[in-house]
Amino acid sequence: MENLLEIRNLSIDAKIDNNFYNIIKDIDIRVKKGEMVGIVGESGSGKTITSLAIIKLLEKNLFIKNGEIIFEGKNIMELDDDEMRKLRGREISFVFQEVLTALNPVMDIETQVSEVLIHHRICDKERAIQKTTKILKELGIPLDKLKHYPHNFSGGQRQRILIAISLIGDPKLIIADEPTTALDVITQIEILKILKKIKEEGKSIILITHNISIVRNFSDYVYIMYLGEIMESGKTLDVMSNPIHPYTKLLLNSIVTLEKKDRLKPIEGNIPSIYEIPTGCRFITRCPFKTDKCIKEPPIKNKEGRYFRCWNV
Amino acid sequence: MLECLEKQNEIITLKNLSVRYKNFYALKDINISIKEREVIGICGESGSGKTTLCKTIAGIEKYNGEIKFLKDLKFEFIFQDPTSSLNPKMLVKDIISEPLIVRERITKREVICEKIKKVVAEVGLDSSIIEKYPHQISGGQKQRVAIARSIVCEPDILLCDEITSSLDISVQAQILNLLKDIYEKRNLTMIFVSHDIFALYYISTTIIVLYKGMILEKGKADEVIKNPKHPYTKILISSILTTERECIDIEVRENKTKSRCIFSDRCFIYDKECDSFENELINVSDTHYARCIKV
Repeated sequence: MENLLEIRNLSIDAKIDNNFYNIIKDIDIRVKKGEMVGIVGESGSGKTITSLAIIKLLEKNLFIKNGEIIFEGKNIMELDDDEMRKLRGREISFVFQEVLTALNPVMDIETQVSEVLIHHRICDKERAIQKTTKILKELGIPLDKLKHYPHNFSGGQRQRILIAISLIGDPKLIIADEPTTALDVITQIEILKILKKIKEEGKSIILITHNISIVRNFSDYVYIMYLGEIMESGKTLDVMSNPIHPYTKLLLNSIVTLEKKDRLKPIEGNIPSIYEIPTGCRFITRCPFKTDKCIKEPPIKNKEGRYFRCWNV
Repeated sequence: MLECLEKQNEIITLKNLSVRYKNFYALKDINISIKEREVIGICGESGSGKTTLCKTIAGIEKYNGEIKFLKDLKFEFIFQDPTSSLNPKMLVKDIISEPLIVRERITKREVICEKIKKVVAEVGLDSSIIEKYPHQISGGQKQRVAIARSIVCEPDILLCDEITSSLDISVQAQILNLLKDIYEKRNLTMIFVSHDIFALYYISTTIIVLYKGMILEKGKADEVIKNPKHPYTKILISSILTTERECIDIEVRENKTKSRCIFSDRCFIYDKECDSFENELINVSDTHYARCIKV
């Protein structure tokens, strides 16, 4: 299958008080057509920064040091602001993290959803409203509530409205950043099923989450990030059933399940802050399998379609 | 552990407890008895009344009904977000010692230092941390500081409100282990509120499922999790995603009902019989109850 999006060798630095800190290091991500790709990581792993780099919405103190982002053969880095504006919402759309703040509180939802079509001049207002009604109905929003404001809706409904906004411009790629974090478990499943259906209709989705169980159940391919690096990547089921990198192994081991009730096995230590990123392997401060080699930067190894960054496996 | 619990004494009983904000019942018809050394896990979706129940027991919420304390009890609270529950302008040592000074009225500096040193070690922190401010330490460390502060006065009851929700996965397990250690070591009774059923099952002896301010199901942890009786609990448990099995297909219906059952509008086994339901808790066994006519 063809690659819709390809991130090659991307590195990003953060400038804080005139010092540069490397927060994303040499990452490679590929998204094929009709594929759901999961990016999993804890806080500070750089998963959100990576996704913002794709639509060029990085904070002003973040700089792309090297690498390229190719979307449908075009290098996004070379596009100017006008071209980017045409791309966002129409080719690549984003479902943001906070359902409470991502919607405009003083605009009714019909206007908010149809805004995308009108702004991109995809169709006239009348047609835009028709399309809006159709898509909101499909996503289970009661039609008598179209003129209501965001505060009239529950968290799950707000998330559906955000998905409607991201879908209505008919983009090829949807980036969903922690789309279910603030939601209850039952609502979470409903939202994830909607994303799955969208994928099955041929769109590509990047699903960013800290919840490895969501990725296990919904994504086709997974990238495991830690402190700005991709530690391991591969087909989701391969990675879950046979993790190679120590971080993935320990992470899967630390999760509480309903089957075992003896002691939990957490990963010892804390995630270093960006001021104290270690040299060499970035997982070195917490890895129980570390050796003398690990103070040098580990090579990216490739085995049967799996990629991982570790000296010792 | 469960066997010895049954013989133990009740220390708190809640009878016909309700909390009302104007016309809205945040809690309704709550009857619980809490025994010594019990860990009560409370789960439910947002707005189900988990935190309100916790606050009511701690005495910081107005209520109707009866709360009976059968013993002199000391409460402590641990909150969800360690960043906002620690004063940013105070050093860690001052944060931990504050309850000793304010509540226990201990003035001797040596006694305070000794106690701080002991709890800091107990929660697995390095002693150098006491000279730092909250912004200088990580989220997991902050939650450990909050736990240290809560146990420094040697409470009888610890109320934990979503204490792992804002932490990273790899740190969540550390905090849960720590809490279990503290429970085993000290003579504690705990109330543990969480929407995370895994964490709840790991730590609790009794589980209560709340929905719209009412108890839908109550029983020993194993009974509720392994053999759920209420359709809502069944949906809740099957909708948990794990890394070990495929996602189970669940059905959430939208019924138009006149039943008094508060879950009937979303229930997948709703039928005519439910319309005659009086909405009371029904015994499944001596310890296991569910608010469903079909149990």
